[in-house]
Amino acid sequence: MKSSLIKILVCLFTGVLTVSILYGLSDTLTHKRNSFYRYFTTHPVSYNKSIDLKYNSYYFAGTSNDYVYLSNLTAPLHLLKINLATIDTNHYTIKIDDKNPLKFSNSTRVSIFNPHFFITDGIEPRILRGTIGEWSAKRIMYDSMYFNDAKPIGSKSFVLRSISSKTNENILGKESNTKPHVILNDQLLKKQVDGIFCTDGILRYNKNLSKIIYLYHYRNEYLVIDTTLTLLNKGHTIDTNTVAKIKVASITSNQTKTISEPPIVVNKNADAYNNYLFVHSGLMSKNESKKTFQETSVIDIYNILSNTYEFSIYIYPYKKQKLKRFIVTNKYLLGIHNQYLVVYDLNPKWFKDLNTKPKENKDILSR
Amino acid sequence: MKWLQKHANFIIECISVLYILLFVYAAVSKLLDFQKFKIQVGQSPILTALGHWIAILVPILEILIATGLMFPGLRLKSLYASLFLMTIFTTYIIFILNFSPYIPCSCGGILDDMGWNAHLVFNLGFVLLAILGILLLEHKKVKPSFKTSTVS
Repeated sequence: MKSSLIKILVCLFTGVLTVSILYGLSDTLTHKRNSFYRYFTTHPVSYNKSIDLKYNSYYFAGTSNDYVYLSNLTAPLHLLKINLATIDTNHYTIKIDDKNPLKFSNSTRVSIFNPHFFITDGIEPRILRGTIGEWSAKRIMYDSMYFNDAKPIGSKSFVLRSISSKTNENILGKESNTKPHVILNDQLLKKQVDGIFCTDGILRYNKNLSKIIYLYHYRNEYLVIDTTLTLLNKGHTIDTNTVAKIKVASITSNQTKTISEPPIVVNKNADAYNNYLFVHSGLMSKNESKKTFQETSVIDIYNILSNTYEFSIYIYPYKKQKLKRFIVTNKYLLGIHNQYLVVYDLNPKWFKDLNTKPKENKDILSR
Repeated sequence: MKWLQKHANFIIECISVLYILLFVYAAVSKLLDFQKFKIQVGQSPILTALGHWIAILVPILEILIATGLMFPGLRLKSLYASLFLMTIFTTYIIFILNFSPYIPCSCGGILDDMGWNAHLVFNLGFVLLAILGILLLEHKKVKPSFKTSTVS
């Protein structure tokens, strides 16, 4: 009896040990230190307030004046308006003004574009528009293009990311309700591995500068594009991953393409405000503590006009929840930590360019 | 305890059959779509160091152990091996859930629709079954020697 108990314990122990060793080996591979440095300043952001949203499926639809609007992935036409000064909340349900009953799914996104709001869905292509406050939306566009991301860049025009029917690769385009309705530019996104995963990234529109920003997920590069889809500028994030480190494989049994190895995610998420680009990075630098890096979310701040890296900030977990999504306004960084919306003040001492008039910098851009 | 001892043979048979079904099913489902399984293993944040070796190793082990469980002579050793393998699977799930930088969407495991937490409970159940089987079998092995000594 005793010897069998010992044998059982040995089995359990070696089992746990085996996995621990595997984990340790993988961890040193994936949490490799990178040969770049970050700068951290004193108190660039500080906690201001938080709101319990009760659900973790909210995402940012946008901001307008002192309000932030959140929509919900599982309730596509639900909208939550929060006054950032008073934390008063209002709930709305968007009405759809259309002859046919339209279904909205989790590919539906609501975006605020003062004084309008838009509902986009790229799987059953359609773009609807309404006015903030009236919360009734109807089709305004020619609606022919399938897309996997869309951001409004004007009251009747959109930047889209779609998959090219010719090459089966990601492509950026613009859709508007004047002819030609769709223009595509296949020169913007550069294929490195497969054209789909390797060009995946974050599409943002910087309203203050009227510039489209595209930041790659798997390489250290962002594109600054004007509203006619002309590339103005290429910038680099501080790490050294110029080529996407991903491996792609096809599964023949269900005809899908998938990433076949844990990819090195360089840039997880981003937002652009005025001259700034805020990038939630996935890589640890040479001069950080591993513990802090793992526990927090690190955001690198770039100036897209001068193409420079400014400094980095840590966003700590709120009620043990890590930062999941964020946007930047002229005063705040707003973060969604699972079910909480957290408002962080941006210290004007470090964020001098949040309120500068973009025109002053025009000469730098046209360089 | 008495009930357990009385039905020891039957219980051990049951546990062995359950394990055989589990391992054969798991191995076959992996091998049937081996390409997919290999990719799923490659996507795991914990197994990156081992690479694709583990994709071949796991179904082979499962089949070997299932075969061993079919022979009464090899059953005890096979139960220890089952316990060892099940502990690895269970620990793997615990690590994925708690320490992994992200949770892969597919379990790549036996019941595709089972969530990670359900899978954890399921695996823990099998770990306990293996321990029970081992204890009963070890106990039984000792007993006959007592009997022979009293008879003689």
